[in-house]
Amino acid sequence: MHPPQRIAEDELIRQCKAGSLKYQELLYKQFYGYAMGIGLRYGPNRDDAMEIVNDAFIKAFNSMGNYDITKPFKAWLRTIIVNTAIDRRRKDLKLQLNIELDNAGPIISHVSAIDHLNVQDILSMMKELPTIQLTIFNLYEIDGYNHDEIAGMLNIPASSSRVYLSRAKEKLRKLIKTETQNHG
Amino acid sequence: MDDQLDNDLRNRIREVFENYDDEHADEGWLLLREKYPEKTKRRPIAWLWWSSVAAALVLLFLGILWYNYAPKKENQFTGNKQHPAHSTQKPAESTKDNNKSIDERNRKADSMLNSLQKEALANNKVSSDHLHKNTAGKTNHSKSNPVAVNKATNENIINVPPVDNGLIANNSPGKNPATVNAVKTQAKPSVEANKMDNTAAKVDSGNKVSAKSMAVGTQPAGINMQEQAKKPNKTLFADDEIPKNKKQEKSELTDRAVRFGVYATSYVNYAKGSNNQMNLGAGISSDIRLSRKLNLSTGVSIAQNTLSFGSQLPSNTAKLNAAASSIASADNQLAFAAATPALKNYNANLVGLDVPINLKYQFNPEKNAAFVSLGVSSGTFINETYTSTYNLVTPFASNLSQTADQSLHQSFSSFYFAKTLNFSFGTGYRIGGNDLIIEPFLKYPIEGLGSQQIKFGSGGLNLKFSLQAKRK
Repeated sequence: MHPPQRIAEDELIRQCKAGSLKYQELLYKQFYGYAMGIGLRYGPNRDDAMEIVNDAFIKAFNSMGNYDITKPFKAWLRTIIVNTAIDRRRKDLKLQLNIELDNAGPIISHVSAIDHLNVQDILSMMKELPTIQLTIFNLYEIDGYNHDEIAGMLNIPASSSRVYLSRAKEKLRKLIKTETQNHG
Repeated sequence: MDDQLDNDLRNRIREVFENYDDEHADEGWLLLREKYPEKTKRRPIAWLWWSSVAAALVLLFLGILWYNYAPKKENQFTGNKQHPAHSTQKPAESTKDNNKSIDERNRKADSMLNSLQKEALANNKVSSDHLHKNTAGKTNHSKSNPVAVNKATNENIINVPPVDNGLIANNSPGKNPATVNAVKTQAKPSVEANKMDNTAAKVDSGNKVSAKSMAVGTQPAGINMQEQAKKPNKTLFADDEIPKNKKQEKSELTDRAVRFGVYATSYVNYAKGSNNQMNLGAGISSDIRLSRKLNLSTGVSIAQNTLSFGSQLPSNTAKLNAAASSIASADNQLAFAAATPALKNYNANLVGLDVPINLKYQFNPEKNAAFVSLGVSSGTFINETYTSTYNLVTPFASNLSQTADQSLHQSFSSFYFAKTLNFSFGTGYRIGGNDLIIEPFLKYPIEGLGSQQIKFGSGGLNLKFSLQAKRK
């Protein structure tokens, strides 16, 4: 695997705006890791994550003309990826709206364990969450959306968003406790 | 306590995924390229299609130009030669022009005729009256119109090449009547349906009119050639006019050596293991007459051939195996070391120039254009594109299936000779002066074609426009 050639972001974007396939490839490879970091959090598995990322890049290439070059490209790309992921999982999200969260037991804090979580650990924990909770957790905690925005994106009440976020956090705390006990 | 845990967890997740590095960008890009950009993939096909149409139009234009130019020259020549009645519609101009053009040639003949006249006056016992009577009787022209006879013989003299006149002059005809036969023999092939034949035949049939006496009879015509030609002779050739026109038309009907046509074709390509693909083509054709019912049909066409084999390869796959190996080696770099490329799809797109050579048998060429044709095709390929799509299974995730494309492009890589068997039949419909021919056909591969030696054929329908076909 050869690391993709690093080219100035402005030049990459300018060439991509001109429709150069070569520069689109370079842009893709330069931001692929970043994009997959988002896709993996929203997709149930790696295949889905890659499809989310690719669909998002295609949308980005097609709408590159509308991109405001004065704004950060990563933020723009993140928005596209998140929206693409939500669109893909919208059906699953609706099905899981009524699923009740298991009763979470008392959480024992093991902060030190968190520092040792790697990608696979985090993804393994996230897989334990129902899709709706995972999505709202990602949107609110990681990607910085507020509940009103999440409510608009998922077409649910903002109060529901708060509830699902709360349940997601509880579930994660429980999982961290279990993880800590296993390694303790 | 919970807030602290949540904050720590959030920060850890952000940190991990913000700095996430993934080494499968190449693999991801290959997947993306299957979907993007769609329009770019179709551009070469569109380009080939329009270039094919442009080439066909250029060929058509050149063919029509050539076709229109060549027969006109022939018609002008034969028109002056075989239509005396027509040319006398403006006798003062057309005959004069005609005489001018041969004036140089006849000068020698005139001088020879003068010398013959002198000889004839001395030796010949046959009077000019007798000659007039005899000639007029045999040619069915008015007895009381010696001018007409002179005109007829005048035309003979005009039309007979100088060589023939030379023969007459050099052969002392009065003393050797056999030379008349020689005159006839020389004159007949060069001037078909010429009155010279009539006159010569009469002489030959025992009237004992020697070539000298002919010369006497024709001498005034030779001398006053231009004056005689100026006189109207419509009535003189009125009887001959209709048969001659008919003869000329019949001659055009049966003697047209080459007929040209243009055609468009739609067909289905077939090959063992391939999905049938619909394609289009266009070309020009020419039918060279071998006999009344048999033609040699040839031409050139440009046509696209597409084949889609799925996971089943065509028979000869040496280069494809090499391509698969290269894919495998490339994949080692892509962390697919354990993956074996499995062929998912194999497509071939060949734009070819086809030169058929067929024997075409027409059942009744005078009445209709029904025919059957059999022959072989040769040609080359302007562009060959072979695309192999491979499935790649990654060890990272067993259910993750990736694909990779391998393309091979070639142009004019080879010329094939008689590797396709052609069979067709058809019939035609008259549109104006031309024929619209509907011709179902089948091309059967004898051997593999193109750089990959794929054995494929085609079957479809030609819609042919045969130009200026003459038929009753």
